[in-house]
Amino acid sequence: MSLAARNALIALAITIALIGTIVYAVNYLNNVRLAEVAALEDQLAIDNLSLETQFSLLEAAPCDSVASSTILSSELADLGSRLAYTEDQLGSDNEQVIRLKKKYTLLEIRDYLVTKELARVCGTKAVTVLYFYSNAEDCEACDKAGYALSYLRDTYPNLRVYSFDYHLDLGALKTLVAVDRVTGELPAFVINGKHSNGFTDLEEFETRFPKGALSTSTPKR
Amino acid sequence: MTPGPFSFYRRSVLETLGGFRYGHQTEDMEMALRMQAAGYEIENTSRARVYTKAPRTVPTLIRQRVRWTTGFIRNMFGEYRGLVFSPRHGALGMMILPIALLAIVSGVALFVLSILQFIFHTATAIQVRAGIPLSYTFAPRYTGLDWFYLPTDVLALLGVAMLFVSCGLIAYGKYLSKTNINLRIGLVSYLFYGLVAPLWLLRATADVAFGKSRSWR
Repeated sequence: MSLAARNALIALAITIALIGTIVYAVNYLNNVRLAEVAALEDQLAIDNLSLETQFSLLEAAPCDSVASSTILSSELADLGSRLAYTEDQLGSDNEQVIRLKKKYTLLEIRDYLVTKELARVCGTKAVTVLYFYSNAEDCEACDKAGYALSYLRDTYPNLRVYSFDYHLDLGALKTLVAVDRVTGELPAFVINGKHSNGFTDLEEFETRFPKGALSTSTPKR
Repeated sequence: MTPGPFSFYRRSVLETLGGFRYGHQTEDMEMALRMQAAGYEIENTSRARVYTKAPRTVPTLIRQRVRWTTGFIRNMFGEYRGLVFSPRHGALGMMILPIALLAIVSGVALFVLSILQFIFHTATAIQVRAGIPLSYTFAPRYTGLDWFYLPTDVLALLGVAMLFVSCGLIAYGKYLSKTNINLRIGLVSYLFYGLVAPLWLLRATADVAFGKSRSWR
């Protein structure tokens, strides 16, 4: 074999090995990620059941510190960011993503209902924000509103933000939209039961909150 | 191609073809193209060890590469345009020259696209964060490496792998040439190479487009 032919073969072998390794690694990582997404789905199902049970127990249970807190906080926020990343990677039309979003939305609605019930029964002062956004072209201010809400949620621990994809085809969400009479331009908000639409800036947005709601102190029980 | 630092020519070939002449400051390339256009073959001695003087500063490197690139483009779009996509000239016509031209076009296009994307993303990020305290925007949020968020795009990973392979080749080149070069500086400057290369590609294409000639030095 000539030197040129040998060199060409070595170059070909290196190229195949390189591309083969990359394709294998991508395939492997995607499979592991899909497994993690499936675990995420299981976690959402368990959390849903847990909240349902908590809701049932609430009437009988006294308003102690365990019963009067829900799982939301950091765990739900983590699930949300993983879901957002998965949606970004697999696309909004992906069936698995839509299924995950529906389960996540159900979990949020249940958590919202439990929080509302806790406020009624035990007098907790959590401030709830229902945020209706859209990934379609009909919500120019959604990115700004989403970032401002992340800032507010991270800054004020007693703030509970529930984000809903307005166009998600889910019966419970449609009922929530109908019950809370969410209409008008997106983004739409329901802050402690008060409706508002659109988003310009944080300063204006903060005026929509009840007085004293945006404080960094621990909420009263 | 017959590289500038070390080439041997059969005298009879040069005499038949008429010897060296002005070739847009890339006379070695012009001669190689003329030889191949005339049907001669150029053999590559892959075991030869060649030492050459490389530019010592970034401005000299840019000047050298601008000279090479403008010379290549002017030769290709001048006398030797018939070689591109010419099946009669085998790998040179069908692969090497088209890929070399594509490398220049894509280098410029990717650079311009990256700048535009950077401006667009920065403007969007500023717009989205308007009114939010900067202390929140710039607060460190590192919560440990979570592989879940690792990008698994084939092209991105291929780019990273090529970077590592290239660094390995630089180290192997040092071993092969048995030269006393500083490997660390070599690797660091390689990483900057990708940022500087678009500059000479842009300048070279602009020079060709506006018919500007530069002195050798």
